Amino acid sequence: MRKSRLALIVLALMLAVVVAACAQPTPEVVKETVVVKETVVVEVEKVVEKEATVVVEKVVEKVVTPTPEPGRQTLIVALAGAPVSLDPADHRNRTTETVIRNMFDGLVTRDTRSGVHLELAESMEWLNDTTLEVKLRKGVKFHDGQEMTADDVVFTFERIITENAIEYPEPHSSPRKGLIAPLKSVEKVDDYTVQMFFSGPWPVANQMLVHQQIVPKHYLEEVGTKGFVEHPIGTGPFKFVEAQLDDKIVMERFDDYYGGAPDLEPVGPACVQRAIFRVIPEASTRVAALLAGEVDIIQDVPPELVETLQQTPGIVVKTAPGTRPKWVELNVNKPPFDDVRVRQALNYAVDKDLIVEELYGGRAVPLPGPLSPFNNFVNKNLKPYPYDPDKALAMLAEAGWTDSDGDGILDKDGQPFSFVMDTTAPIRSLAEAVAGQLRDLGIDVSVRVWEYSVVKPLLLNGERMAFARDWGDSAFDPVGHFEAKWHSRVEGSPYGRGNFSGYSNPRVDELIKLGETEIDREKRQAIYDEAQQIVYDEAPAIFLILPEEAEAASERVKNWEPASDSRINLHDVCLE
Amino acid sequence: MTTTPAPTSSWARARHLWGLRWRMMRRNWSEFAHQMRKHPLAIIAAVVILLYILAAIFAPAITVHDPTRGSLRTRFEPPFWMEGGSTEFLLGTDDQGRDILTRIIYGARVSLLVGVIAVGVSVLVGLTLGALAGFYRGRFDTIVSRAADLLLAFPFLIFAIGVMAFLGPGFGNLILALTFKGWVEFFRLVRGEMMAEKTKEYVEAARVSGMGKVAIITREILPNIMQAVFVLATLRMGYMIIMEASLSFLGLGIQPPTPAWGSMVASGRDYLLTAWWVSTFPGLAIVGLVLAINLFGEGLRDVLDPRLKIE
Repeated sequence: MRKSRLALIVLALMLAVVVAACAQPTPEVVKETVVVKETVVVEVEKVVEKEATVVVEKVVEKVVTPTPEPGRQTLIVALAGAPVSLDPADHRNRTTETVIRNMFDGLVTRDTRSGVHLELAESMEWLNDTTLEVKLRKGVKFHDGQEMTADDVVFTFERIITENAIEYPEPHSSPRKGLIAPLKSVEKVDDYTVQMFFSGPWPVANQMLVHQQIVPKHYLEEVGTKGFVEHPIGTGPFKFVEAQLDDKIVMERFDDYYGGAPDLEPVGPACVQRAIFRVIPEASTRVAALLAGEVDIIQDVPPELVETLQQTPGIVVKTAPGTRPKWVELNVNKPPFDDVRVRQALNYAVDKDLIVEELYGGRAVPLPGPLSPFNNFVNKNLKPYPYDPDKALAMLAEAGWTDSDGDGILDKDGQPFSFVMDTTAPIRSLAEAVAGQLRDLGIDVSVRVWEYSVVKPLLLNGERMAFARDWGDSAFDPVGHFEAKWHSRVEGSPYGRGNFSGYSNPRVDELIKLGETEIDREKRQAIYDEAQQIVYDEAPAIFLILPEEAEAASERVKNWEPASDSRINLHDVCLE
Repeated sequence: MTTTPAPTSSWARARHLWGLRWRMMRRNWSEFAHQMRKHPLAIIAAVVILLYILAAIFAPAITVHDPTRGSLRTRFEPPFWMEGGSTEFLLGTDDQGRDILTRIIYGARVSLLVGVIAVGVSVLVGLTLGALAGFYRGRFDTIVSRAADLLLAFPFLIFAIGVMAFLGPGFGNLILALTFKGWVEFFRLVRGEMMAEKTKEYVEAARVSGMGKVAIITREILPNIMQAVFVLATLRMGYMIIMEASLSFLGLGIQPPTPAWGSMVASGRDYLLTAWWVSTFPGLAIVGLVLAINLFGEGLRDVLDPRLKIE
């Protein structure tokens, strides 16, 4: 009796742990803890039996599977998120681009130090302000052996700029159209020459063309978009083998690869035989997988783990300047954020240096305004809003917000200063830190974590108060940033497509339009300097920080470099 | 012997009845206490539950830190027994530099409150509908029973996730999501008991003596099945607490900075390799409370409702 009681306690404890862990408890389950001892024994026997079966299965599997190549020539990369498609024209997502650009090449590419180099293009020349002539490299083969020609390039760009050109799953226009908005048409001159016609001068064409990859016309016409995304074919260093987008993408070396950009060593087929992208969203799981040797490279190392990994033998951590500035956009059309003094006060209230130091271990920089300090057109005169809580309080008092009832919360006309800061899971910690600092000032801030796709329409409709997140800046040019975040929202166009603050300033809109077509670098700088100054002063957001991109790999991985745009170029990577 | 007695006599009768009940309760209580003594585990569990409740009630008095405010400078302080730890933060601090022990103690408020209210509302709804359906049967019973069957077809957690995703997070919505399906089990229990009791002789006797239907349900039958309801309520309490923790873990329950155990476990997930204590202690708090509630519920069941023990 005593023994069975003890067994019961142990069983109950285990059950409770299981119950707590998987959250699938029912009173029925608990009832079973009262069963007699014999049943418990039977249960144990069952478990043993099961384990034995598993072992047998594994052995059989190992015997059957032949090992295709000697040594370990398979490179495994752990991604933080899943790609959304394998069609280069049908996504607007960094992870997707990271995967796709290992199977597809573009006319130009960008290396880790942000320079643009010719890839499939042999030369590119502006015939006049609005016409770009591209001569194509000869002898470039798609993965099915067909040569890439001008027809494929024309087809690729027409597919992106034509309305509803993508017919699967239902007819829609390419989400990448906005990245090449000024392109009017593309024409074939001969088999290896195309001309691209733009609506006006487009100084950032080279930077932006990096984000478009060439697809095979003959193949797409034969199998359609559906067949294409199920088995994509490109000109890149790796060819598609199989994929389950939310789990893994398997690729194999393309032996007939033309070699890639001739300026970028090494030139030739990829180094490893097989490359696999695995999706591991949980940061600690990703790190654990690297430590266990299950994967070779991991993306997005959380800042607090950088140091730990650096001290781990056999692991190399590398960082690159980040391109994802983080801020809290404030709804400028709703009180209290319709008052510019309140928005500026909030900028003074956040101790960015403390956040950089403690939250990011020094691996971040404060934002000197709306643009990343690494942007090619950053306004050098702007300095990050200094941390000055007294000034913040004074400005808030000027705007009418004081703690008149002595409850520790600022109020105005009897209303407490209280709002919800929305965010998404990856930067919850940052949002909570900012909210905490605002609470110290006497503002009642709570944080709500959302799925981005759920909260985005609410933000665009101006239904929320504040949103903490980032916006990619991988082209190092203000275009993508300014038109998306600080241009007034124009429905159905790229302008203001990420404008979550509802900010609208006609002068800024005008400057953005001017900047898009200005070719003279100095004039362009002056245009963006003015735009940045205005946005900085009007503070439609709390400008926070720009963290470094950190990636880690096993030290057996050679020739690997994290990119600012978080691209992982596997062409050069070798395994020892 | 009238369905509605005159007010004066009713008052006297009620007093007499309550006096009787009180004496019976006292006798029952000593009997109950005697029976419970055979279940030491349940008594220990009761003490643990009591400790949780006291901690939740007196949270501001027994903690020195603010549960929602921390300093980034005291991020990830380890528990006191580890190198670098201090007695200022007994169980260490989280990613915002907040004291974990303080947050666990305040988190007990959320868990217990959600457990009690969610179960309370479920019992209220389930009991009322179950009693009416079981006693009157007919079309009302058919409709409510089919609705209950429909709800039973969904797994609770998936259902709750769906409801929360639709309603949005928050305390009120959390209660709503949990009770939306939580009443079904009480409904089925009460309805079944009601149908079984209805045919018994004492009910027959009450009916013959001219008692009204409502009186029969509330005064005669319900007191006889309340024990079973109470046992189920205790067991469901642990479950509701787990549900709240699960939803908060998924970010659908209580929103930061209000401390809730589930969201505390979730927020420590990314730091498991460097700061295991952020997730571990709130996790243990959940296990401890739910285990105690379940053990207590079992002891209670053995004493109050031995029939349930079969099988």
